[in-house]
Amino acid sequence: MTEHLSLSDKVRMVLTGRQPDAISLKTAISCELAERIAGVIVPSGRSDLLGVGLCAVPTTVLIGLPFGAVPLAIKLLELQTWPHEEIRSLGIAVDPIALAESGGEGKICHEVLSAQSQLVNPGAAIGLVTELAQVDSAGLEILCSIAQRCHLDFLMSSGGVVRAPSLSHDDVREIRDILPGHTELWVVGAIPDRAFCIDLLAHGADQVGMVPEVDGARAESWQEVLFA
Amino acid sequence: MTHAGNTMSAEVTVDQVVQSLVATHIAPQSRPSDLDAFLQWARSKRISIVFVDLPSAARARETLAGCATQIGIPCAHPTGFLATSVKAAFVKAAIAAGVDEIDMGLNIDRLREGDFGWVTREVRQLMDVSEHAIRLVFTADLPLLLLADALQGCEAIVRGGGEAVCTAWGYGVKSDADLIKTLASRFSGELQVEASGGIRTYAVARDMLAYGAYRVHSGHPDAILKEALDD
Repeated sequence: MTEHLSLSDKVRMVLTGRQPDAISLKTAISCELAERIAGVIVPSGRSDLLGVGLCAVPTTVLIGLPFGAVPLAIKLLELQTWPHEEIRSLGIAVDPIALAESGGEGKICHEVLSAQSQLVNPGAAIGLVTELAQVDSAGLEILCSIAQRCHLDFLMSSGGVVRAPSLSHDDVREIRDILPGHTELWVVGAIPDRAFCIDLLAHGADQVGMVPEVDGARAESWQEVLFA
Repeated sequence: MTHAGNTMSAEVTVDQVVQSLVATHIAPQSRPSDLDAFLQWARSKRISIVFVDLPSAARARETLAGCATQIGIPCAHPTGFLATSVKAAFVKAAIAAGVDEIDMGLNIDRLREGDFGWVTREVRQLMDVSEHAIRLVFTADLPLLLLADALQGCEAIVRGGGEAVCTAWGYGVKSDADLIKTLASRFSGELQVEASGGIRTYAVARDMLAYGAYRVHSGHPDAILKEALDD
């Protein structure tokens, strides 16, 4: 059954890393492939990709990369560098120091609400980004609480900027069990093949993000993952 | 700093290695206790400069009060994918926070695609914003580029008024001896070349300085220092 399952609406292309072949990726964005995936995830500084057709693809913009340790004022300034009508969803990288400190939950909620208030598209989804495999159970509880309080649309397991430990399908199931139902779990990076992708989805991931640098995915291999 | 840099030196002393060491603590899931331990360690070892994230600069300043240790921060690492206006805001915020230095990420795709005029314009804008109140070290993963592009990228930095380049961000990207030798030789007197990426031992740090690096960056400074003091 799964061999013929289309993953088009479940897989996103993550363009936050140091891809060795950026030019072909730009080609991929501007070609038919981009219309056959769920979306593209980019850092705020890649608005140049709008000029090669990115505006035709549901785009998630990430602010605060690589690891969230960026002042709120700078994160909000990053948001202003994008045409807001092009933002379908916004991911805010979480400062790990804030996550571990007393009062951090309130600080992160404030960041979410501040960014939300600046989005002109009321339908834009909003979520948090963190290297989830390295977050301890206390940090995970705080993230779930924030997801509830701020009604987050998604939690993303990595910014995809650098190689990071990946989530196992057991991790995915555990996180899915405690995340609020309205918050999607986006698992990013270290997706070696279609079978692993399907496995993550079966264990509760709502979306998977493939990072070309990490996953070695070139334009041609996307077809294989999506439509094998 | 006692090491002049960018001049080939057959003899690099232990003291030069220690003085030239840039200790970095930039990690995906740094905890407050990890940061505090790092800063206390830097204080006890009288490290010349430490790199932390901007929100931790005040904490670093407080912990290192009374020390000569300088504080640096990274910006737009490791891809340089941040709008120039945001990078400029970072520079202003860092100056306000009393930061001494920024490793400023250059857009790796602009370098890869040969858009060196764009790089020069960005460097010039950021140098203008800095008004020399803070040292800017322009940084990119040069080992990921063709050597010709890396050299043209450095020329673009010089044309923009930049005075220092750092060769890599790390995270798996390593600078080799040939790159450091080439850059140090080619840009002697124009650009201070800081070696970074894969420098984990005293021997490598010492060799990079001997090849002409102005300083060496490492995320494993404790190991280097321990070896240096045992040497």
